[in-house]
Amino acid sequence: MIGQAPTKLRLAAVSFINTGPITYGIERGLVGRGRCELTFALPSACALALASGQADLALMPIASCATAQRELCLVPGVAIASRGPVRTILLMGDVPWEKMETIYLDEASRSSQLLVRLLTHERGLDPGYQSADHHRIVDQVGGRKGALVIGDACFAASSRFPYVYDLGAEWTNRVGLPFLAAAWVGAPEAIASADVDLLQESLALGLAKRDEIARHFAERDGADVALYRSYLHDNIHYALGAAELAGAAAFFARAHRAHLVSRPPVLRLFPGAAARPRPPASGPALADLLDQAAAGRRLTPDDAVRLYRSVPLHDLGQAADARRRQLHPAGVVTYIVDRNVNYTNACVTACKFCNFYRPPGHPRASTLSRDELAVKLQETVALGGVQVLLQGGINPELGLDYYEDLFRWMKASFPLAIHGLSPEEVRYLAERESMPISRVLERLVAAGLDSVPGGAAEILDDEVRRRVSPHKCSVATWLEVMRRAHQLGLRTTATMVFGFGESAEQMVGHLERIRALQDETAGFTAFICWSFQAEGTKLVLHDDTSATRYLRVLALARLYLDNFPNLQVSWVTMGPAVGQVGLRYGGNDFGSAMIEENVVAQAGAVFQLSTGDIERAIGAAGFIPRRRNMRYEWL
Amino acid sequence: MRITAELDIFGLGRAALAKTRSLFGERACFSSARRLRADFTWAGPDEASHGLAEERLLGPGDLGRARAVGANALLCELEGGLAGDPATSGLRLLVRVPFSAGEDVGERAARLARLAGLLDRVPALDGIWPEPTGEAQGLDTLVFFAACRQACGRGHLVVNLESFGLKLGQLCLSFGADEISGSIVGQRALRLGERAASHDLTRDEAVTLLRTAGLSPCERLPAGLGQGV
Repeated sequence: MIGQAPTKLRLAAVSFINTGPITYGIERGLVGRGRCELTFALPSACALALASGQADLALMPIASCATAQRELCLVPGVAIASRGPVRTILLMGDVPWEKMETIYLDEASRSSQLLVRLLTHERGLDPGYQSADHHRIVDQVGGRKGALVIGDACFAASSRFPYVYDLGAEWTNRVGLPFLAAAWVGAPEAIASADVDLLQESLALGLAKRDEIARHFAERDGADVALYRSYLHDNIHYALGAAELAGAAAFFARAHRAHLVSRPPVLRLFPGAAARPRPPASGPALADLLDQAAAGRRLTPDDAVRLYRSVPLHDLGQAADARRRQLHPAGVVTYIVDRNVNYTNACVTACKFCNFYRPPGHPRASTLSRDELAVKLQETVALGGVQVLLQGGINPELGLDYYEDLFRWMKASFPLAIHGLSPEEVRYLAERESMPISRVLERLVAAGLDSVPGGAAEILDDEVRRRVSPHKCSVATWLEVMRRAHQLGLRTTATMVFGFGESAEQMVGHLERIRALQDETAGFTAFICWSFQAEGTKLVLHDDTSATRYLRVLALARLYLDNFPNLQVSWVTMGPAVGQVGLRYGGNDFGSAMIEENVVAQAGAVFQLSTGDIERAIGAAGFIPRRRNMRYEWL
Repeated sequence: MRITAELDIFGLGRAALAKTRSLFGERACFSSARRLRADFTWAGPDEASHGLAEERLLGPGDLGRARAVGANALLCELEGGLAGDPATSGLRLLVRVPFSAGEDVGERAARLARLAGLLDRVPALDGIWPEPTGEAQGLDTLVFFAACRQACGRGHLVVNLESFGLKLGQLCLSFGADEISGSIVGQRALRLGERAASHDLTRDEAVTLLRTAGLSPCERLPAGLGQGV
């Protein structure tokens, strides 16, 4: 719950140009008049103001979250981030990076200090570090002494030295994710939900006035207005969504591995709040609607149904392709090397569409032994796998202690991330142990769970679920498990299986539910859809599960899920060729080089690809293949 | 045409689809085919309406023998000599056009130009039959079909489901193809275990494949097109 708001909301914001759009509406009294009290300071001072209680909310360096003594939340939808060159986090010197013996660190910085230390460490370098005053740091540079320079000072200083490294570009080129430098941060009870709205509104007003802001600061600094305009439009990204959170999570995880932070913080958005792009009030013509969606404008459910039913395949695909290109301009298509381990096929859920399960007590019901698992996991490591996708049936013989022991053993024995237990499995454990869902997840995380797969979603519509999987969790429960997981800092995926005779409205309803949760938590890293694999199952349906429909659904999902950075293509069910085509219909990820898969294989999907095959398929589509982990961090 | 991330596949698809629709409307055909092996036995369902002989497997004088055992269609080679041969009269004539992903762009363009020339010279050619050399890539296949549609005049553009599979095969129908040919059977085995990669399909499934591509199915029978389904 967002807490009781104080009468005045004390805001501390960074005093750089890039803050201009964020505070525009507040500074001018266009929003929050009488509510907000705004002060400006250097980044480190903003963090101190929050820590000391002098501010309720600080637009502060994200790195300060790692040293905070209390739980903090982030305001969704507002950030200072970059997706490539940022121009105001620069390492400068007379000599190349690897020849710098000392790097001076700007005292005003927190995130940038951590970033330069991390990138230096990852380059295998070990220079000395010294603090320097923000206003005099450039004067320290000379010989083998370089300096981290941040903020507006970079514009004048960058031409003074032969070696200038843009650390925003260095980060994104290395990791493939945005760099989140700063966000509005505060204690969970610090603000009311209306405050989130006003902070988002202030930014929305400022984004529309970036040219005016650039002119103002250029006059102040005697600088080139075109330079500032380009900086505010092209270099700074003001959204805080799933991609930025994934970037921050990767940042802290890598810093933790490098012993630069003692613990990676859990980054949570203020609960109950959401970034809410406003949909248009009236229904535009289909062509206009498609153009707007391709440009990233939010679709309403009615819009989506209209597009799905009425727009030709090629038009829908072209819009989705344009949207994909906006979000992933580098032309990279990612994939992961992992293994699906289905640890038990004993299951009480008896879904009609599943050909894998056996009822408990059935002669062919089984649970993998540790020895069997060890062989699979060792093989996964040997093949370059980085993760195990661990899902199984709802087996009443397996309690929470079984999973805790299993995860601890896996973590102690194999260098593999555990992407495990669908919401249905978590729900069942909570019921079996008479324990809240959050507690089950906390214990699983303590035992080694890294992330949660989006299985058991099928169609998130209770009417459809009653027909095809009546014993499985309800829509509300599926969403609740994901919400709780996100609140614990776990990243999850969202899936959708279509072809159960659902209507277009029901399918779009599924997309709407996960989009709304993503607005709330930004915890989904990706969306994956595929069609029902019917072969040999008990479910006799005559719905459209064709490749043509698959591409339509994939393209629609890219347009509708404006807050999902990644869409996987499902070559496992659709085949490598259609998977490759899917990369032009909204997909930007080739999924997994699955070393093993059992469930859809039992229903007729038997495609197999090696990592070489995957890279060839991606390359033959004109993209650059990159391996990733579950956070979509390039490896 | 090289496949790049910027290639306008949607424009190619639209142009191919527009030409197909101008020729055939929303109608698309399906036919069940079996193929004559080199030893003059048949591969494919006994009940197939089309018995396809292949020029590349026929020796001198074999054409008559093929007709005698039931061949009613001939798959000619682009560089072969049978396409214009009067002995082929009465057979449905198709021409195989090979392609492979990553092949030289100029060679492919020259092959398509030869195809257009052949279709001009031999009016009896009823359609073209793209066939991948090696495994078919998704985007390259669709782009090749779109190019074939522009090259093949009024001819039919046939998707051989045995080569492309049911899923990619269906997508070809959005890139210029107007006909599917495959092993269409009365009743098929489940695609599980050893038969997992089978492309057999029932008549109902063939009809559904065309309908879900937005087309009106029509069965091709030896005597000509049947009624719409």
